[in-house]
Amino acid sequence: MKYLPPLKLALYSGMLLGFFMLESPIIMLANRIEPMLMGIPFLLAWNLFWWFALTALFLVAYLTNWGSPSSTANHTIKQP
Amino acid sequence: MTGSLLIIAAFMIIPLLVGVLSARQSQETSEDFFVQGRAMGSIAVFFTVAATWWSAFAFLGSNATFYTNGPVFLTALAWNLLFGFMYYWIGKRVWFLGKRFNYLTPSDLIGDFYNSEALRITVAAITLVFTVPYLQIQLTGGAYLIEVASGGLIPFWLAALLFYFIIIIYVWIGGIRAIAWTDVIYGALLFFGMMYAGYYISTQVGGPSALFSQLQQASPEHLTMPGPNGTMGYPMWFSLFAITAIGAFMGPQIWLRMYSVKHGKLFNLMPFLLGLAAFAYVGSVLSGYSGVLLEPNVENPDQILPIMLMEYAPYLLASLIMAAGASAAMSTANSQIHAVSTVVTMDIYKRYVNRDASQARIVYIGRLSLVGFSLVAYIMALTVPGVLVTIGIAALAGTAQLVIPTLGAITWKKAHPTAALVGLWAGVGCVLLMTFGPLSAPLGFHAGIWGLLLNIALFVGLSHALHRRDTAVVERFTQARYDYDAEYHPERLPSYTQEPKPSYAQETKPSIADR
Repeated sequence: MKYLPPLKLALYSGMLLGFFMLESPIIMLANRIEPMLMGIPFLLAWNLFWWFALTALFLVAYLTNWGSPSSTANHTIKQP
Repeated sequence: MTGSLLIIAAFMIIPLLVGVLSARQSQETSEDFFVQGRAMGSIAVFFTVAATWWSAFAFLGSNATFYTNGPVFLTALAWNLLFGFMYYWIGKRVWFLGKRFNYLTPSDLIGDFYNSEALRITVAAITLVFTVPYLQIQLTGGAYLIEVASGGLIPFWLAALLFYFIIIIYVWIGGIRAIAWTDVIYGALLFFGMMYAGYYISTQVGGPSALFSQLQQASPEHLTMPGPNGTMGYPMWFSLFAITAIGAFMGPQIWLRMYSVKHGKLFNLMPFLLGLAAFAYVGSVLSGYSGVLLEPNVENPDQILPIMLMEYAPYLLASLIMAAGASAAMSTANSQIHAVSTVVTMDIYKRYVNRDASQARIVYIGRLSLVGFSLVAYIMALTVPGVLVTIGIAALAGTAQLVIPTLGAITWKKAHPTAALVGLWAGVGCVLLMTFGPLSAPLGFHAGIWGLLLNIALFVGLSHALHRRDTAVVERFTQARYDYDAEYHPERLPSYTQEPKPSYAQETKPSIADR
């Protein structure tokens, strides 16, 4: 945590939440047909929603360099 | 029928031409043949990674699973996201190390970090043994489609033979460059085919909303887990997610697509692109579920999509979509054949048979390996029956075990070679015993999950108990990790000041040509 900038922490936390909603046993709470959303069974709608949220988060991650500051160092630098 | 045959002919000939054209830029060096001189650009990387990752397993297996087992394949949305995330997080580090130390295969990185010949051989054996069955299902899936699209005029054995004949020619000539170029065409066809097939077939029952409404009345168990057979509940949901993404990601064909990338920044974008592409699975949802209503008694579920296309779509459209499905198979098969030939050439021939082989000789051996492995996969496709998804998951469970020593190599200086070796043997042994032996996987989770858990426990436990003596190797990797963080994660640099200062012996790593 010590070396995680706030933006990076937020991004990775969001991703963990998305994967948790899709792949933890919590998915069984969404394992139902009703209520249908726009004619789509609830389980499918749940999956599409979290898929969309995670994909959007990956786009934000790309646009923000995955929460890391841009490097100002020459990467051939040696450890002090 | 003539139109369909023309489409099949075009499907065969166009990639051949593209491959031949791309070969004009090729050089007769092993690095160019196997990883395109580590200079692959963004469009080619995205399409070749996506098309290699999406296979007959995705195109045919997804429809078949929705058709027979209900919604469990929806977990594919998440496994695509996980695959994309790993391509960024693990792939970028593998790429960096590959570029620095001239790696070409998984064994190069793992064998080098752990400084162990036994581990090097084990990794090569796992990649070969578990890639061939996955290769077999590509051939089977592609040949099914060609056979059906031609109305039976091209029988299965001939379709499979044509399939491989084309691949061998353009990979022989152009190596990974030819594969990447043809994968741009295959990738585009594949995603179009999956989505349009689903939409078109669902219109036969009144469109997507009507489809779900009718399915709710006719077979509601198809819409929730554990599905109509009662076997695909949460354990399989999670198992498919983890094993498919990790197993495919650890395949040698994906490793080559990490080593080939030109710029590190491209890895940052791939999770988004690969995640976005997963939307194509909605097409499979629609196709598979439409099949439950339209064709409820199909004997071989892997054939549900081609059968529905032939029954309900205009012949030319059906042929075009089936060509797209064959693209899914071909784009994975070409990469796998090329990857296993790379492993045989670099990990076996170059290392143990002829260390002084010239560049031309290495490329020649790589080409001969293409033909050999194609033949093995062809014979297996004709003689070993099985459902695509079942064979595919078993193969992926084996390659998935490689993720543990890989994570150790890229992140953990305490990772010990004995721990990695014992963990791998135990993980693979567990997969084999629970898949083909007397043991059954407990609690409904796939054997691959139990293999991974055993692998992790042994790897972490033994690494803590044992101490490495080859400090020069460990320090060389620590320096590489430091340089990686300096370039891409400078916020992490203060963490290095807490570690004992390595001596950074001025060891120079021999180039791949010297090994």
